[in-house]
Amino acid sequence: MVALKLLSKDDVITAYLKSFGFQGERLASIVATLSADLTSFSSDDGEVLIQRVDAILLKLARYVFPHSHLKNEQLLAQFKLCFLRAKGAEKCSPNDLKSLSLSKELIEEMRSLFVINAPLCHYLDMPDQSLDYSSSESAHD
Amino acid sequence: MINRFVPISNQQIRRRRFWIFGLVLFSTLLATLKWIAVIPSDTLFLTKLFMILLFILTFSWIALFFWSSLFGFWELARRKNGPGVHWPSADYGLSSKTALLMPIYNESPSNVFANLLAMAESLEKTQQASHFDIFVLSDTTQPKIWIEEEHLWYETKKLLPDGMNIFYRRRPKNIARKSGNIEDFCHKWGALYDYMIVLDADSLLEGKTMLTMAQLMELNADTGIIQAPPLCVNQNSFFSRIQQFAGKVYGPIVSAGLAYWQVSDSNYWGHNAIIRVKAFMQCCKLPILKGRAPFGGPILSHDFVEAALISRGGWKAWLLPELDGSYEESPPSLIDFAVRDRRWCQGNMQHIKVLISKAIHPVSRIHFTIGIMSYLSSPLWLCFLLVGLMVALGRNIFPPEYFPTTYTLFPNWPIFDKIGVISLFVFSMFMLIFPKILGLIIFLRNNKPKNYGGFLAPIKSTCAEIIFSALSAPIMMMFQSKFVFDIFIGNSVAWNTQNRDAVGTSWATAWHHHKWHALLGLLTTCIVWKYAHDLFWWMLPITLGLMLSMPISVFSSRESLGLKAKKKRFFIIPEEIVCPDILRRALRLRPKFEKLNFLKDGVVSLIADNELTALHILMLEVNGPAPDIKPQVLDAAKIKLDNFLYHKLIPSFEKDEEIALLYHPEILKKANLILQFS
Repeated sequence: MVALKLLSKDDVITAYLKSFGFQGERLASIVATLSADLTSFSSDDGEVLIQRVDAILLKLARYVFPHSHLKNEQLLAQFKLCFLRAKGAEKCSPNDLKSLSLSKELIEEMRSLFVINAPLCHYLDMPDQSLDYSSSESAHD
Repeated sequence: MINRFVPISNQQIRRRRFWIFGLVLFSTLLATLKWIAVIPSDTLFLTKLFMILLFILTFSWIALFFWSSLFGFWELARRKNGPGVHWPSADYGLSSKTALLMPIYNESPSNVFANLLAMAESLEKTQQASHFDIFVLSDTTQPKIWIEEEHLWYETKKLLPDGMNIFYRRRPKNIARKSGNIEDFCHKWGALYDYMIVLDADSLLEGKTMLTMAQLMELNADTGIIQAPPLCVNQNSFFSRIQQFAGKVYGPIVSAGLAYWQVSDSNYWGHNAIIRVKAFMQCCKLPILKGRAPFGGPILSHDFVEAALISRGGWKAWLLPELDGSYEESPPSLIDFAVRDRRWCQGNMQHIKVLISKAIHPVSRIHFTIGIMSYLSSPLWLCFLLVGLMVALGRNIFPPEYFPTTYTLFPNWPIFDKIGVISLFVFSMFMLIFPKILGLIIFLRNNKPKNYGGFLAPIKSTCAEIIFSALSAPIMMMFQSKFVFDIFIGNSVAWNTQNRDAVGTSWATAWHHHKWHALLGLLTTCIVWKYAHDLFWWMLPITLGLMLSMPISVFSSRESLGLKAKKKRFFIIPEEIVCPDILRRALRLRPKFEKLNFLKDGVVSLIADNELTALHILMLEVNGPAPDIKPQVLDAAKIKLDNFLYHKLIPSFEKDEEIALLYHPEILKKANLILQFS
């Protein structure tokens, strides 16, 4: 594993928020607010902290994209992508983050920015073709 | 040209083919009879037989090109559309859905996406763009290029006209190369589309051309493939400019000639063509040929075989020279051309196995034969020259025996018809050059002088092209002869990315590729001068071409020489003076995409960007499943990544290590989080 040397709760929340576009003084104040509120986050293991944050974000992602068929990993990535494209960091208030809810406008914008890299697959098989060279060879070689 | 439906019966089609091949046979027969008469009478019987056989094979090849071009000229001169096809009216509205497929393999992402965006914008102008979706089907194996592709796909998506879709998929394993890539598309998404337009990485198709192709498919329900002949453009090396000029001036009569006799049993060239998905899926899952490479294994040149299988399935295939707005790029140098030829040569030799298979349409067999002969003719020509030379040398080194030991009343006087040989040579040259003159006539008729540099420009360009062809033909003959020999002794070739960038051939590269050509040319010149002086001047175009192979290769690869030629009004095509919108747009977009393309350092660049890391992870589901990755490869990659994240040591990943990281989203996510603290 790539060794994660972010051990504190503040480290994990800061890293997450930065990766979602939050920065500067706004970031510091939000981290302080969230850190104080997330009392259940008592583990010192960075990996565990990340999994817990992921679980919360996944709930939010399923709320924002209720009809998506994406797997968890991809849905989280989609959520992050749309949040970044919609400049969610500028549109989210600390209260939104405390209650883990997003404004209607931001949700609508994120939904409009949903990235589809390929349509859903409609699998169909192609029948094998044969090229017979002589009468001694089977047509289904 | 107004496009109206002109019916054609099977009888009329047969008559066309009868004329073409009848004339080929007739002219070959006449020439062969003359050849038999001119072979020195004292030549050994077996040698004579061999010379006759070689003559038939090489001459018939020239004759086919000649007669096909003549009929093509006739068709173009009459300004009539090819028959048998229902053409759409100007306001015909589509009801179908077409996928534009761009299969790529380690190409320049900037150029690929610039071309795609230009095509999308051109489609939008037709106001029927919603009937088209774009698919980028990547088989890229270089991880850095993979990341660049995803990024530029994402940027292209933002710039795409409203209502249009562009999709991206990368296969983890390059099974069966391009044909496997297309099959994978059909397997996953074929059910969603009526037609697919297959492109190459350097293809450009105007929106109206793509629209017309889709309309033609709707109106001609029994059609499986429509091929639009592509015109070479956009390159400036001297060599490419000659190819572009030749394609513009001679290409139309060649295409029109092929369309004349192929009619609804035409071939498919692998790109710039529209295919009915249903027909393709029913008929074109390519078998693996029995035996080992180079003759066995996956079919390399899949296009001819797919056309043959579609034809076998009862579908029609049309080559429509009437479809303009179809472009591609030529290899920039003689050596790049030869490298591409090496792959195509193997692909075509592999068709020998398909040629002899059962239930293939006779015209498809002709296509395979033409493809095979386009390479086999080179060693045949070489043998022909060598045998002729040996006969001439033999005569000079071992003078004829006028009075043999057996009693004869009269001396044994060898008869050598010098005039006959010269006339045959002149006739062969006529057959090679006359179609070019016909092509020039059509070109001059169809284009305004101001659009090609003035009336004299194409005339002097044609003369220059003929001289260059004469000098480069023996070089290609040597290359292709070696390719054929290599293939028949069992050496296979890697199907690598084609070089599309004009970087110029160095003298070292030229020496590596041409040293034996130059030596052979020099040796032959000396031998002929000393022992067969009569032949010296006849052989000079061949020997000179070989001796000068290195400078020809180096200088013709240079853009500077190409641009100088352009300044002197050589090899100018109208598309350079009145540049089609799509070409201009694609060229303008390339530097823009190059500027956008900042992810040049692979994984290290990727994880520094929050949005693009999320994008890559999102796209993994479609790009998966992950290939088998050895644990030690992943471990090595993780160590290097750790050293970068915590100690700022720039990693030097092996290709497999970087690929391994790209398939582990949890590692990428964590690395991205750690970098937030940098």
